[in-house]
Amino acid sequence: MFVQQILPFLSTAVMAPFVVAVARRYLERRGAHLLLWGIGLAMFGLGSFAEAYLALAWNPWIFRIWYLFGAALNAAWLGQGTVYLLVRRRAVAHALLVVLALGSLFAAYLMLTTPLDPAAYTPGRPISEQYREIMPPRAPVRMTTPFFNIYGLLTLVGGALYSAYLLWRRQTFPNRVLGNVLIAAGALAVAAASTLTRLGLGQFLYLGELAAATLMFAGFLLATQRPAAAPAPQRP
Amino acid sequence: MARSSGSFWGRWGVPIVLGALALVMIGLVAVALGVAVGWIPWR
Repeated sequence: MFVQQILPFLSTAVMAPFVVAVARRYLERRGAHLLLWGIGLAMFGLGSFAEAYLALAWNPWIFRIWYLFGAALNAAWLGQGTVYLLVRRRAVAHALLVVLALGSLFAAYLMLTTPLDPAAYTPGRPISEQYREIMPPRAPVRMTTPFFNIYGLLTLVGGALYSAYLLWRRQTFPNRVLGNVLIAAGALAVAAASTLTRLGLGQFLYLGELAAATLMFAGFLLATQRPAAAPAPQRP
Repeated sequence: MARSSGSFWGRWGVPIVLGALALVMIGLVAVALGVAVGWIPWR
């Protein structure tokens, strides 16, 4: 159980510099995809921080942050960044963003109006194993999460795999191929852990999140690495 | 990218890895859809 309590702190420690790195890249280069990735990663980081907090103490607002940002929304917002990167028709990307924003607001409303049972909280027990007892059975907000996560999976993982395939076909930037593979693998790790949590096996969630944070950060660093400069011409 | 290298894995390693990850993605989407429409019981 001790390791389970440590993992969310480690994920938060990985996510903090990851968010800063993406935010700095956005400030340097702009681009809607970087902004949306930054928002999605900040949600992921907030979810990890909330898990770490809830391993020590109860707070209903931290719980709501954990469920809304950590379980429901972050993958979809990350995937929306990939939509802006890969979809050439801006109107399509804008329309999907409007739907995602409205859906997120609706999920936030459902989360805020979900009654919580603090008496069901046990300190030291992973929140991923006890959230079902804290929330009412079949809480409406829980019905929304599969839709956000399906959208996030298809866009984030599908986009990373598609990018890796295109780069491999062109035989350019092997670092970007590997970077996209790592991003896809990281997103799949947390998606698999989330699915297991949904099916009642919450003990794998924290490990999946740490794997996702580490793999996606490594993938981002690799994919954004500057190509090695061409060697300077030799003077005779 | 050394796609044309002689070994099997040098030539096909990347598409095999991408295909395997795509299969995992499809499987997870299928499970999530099953949960969403109620075919797969969830807690």
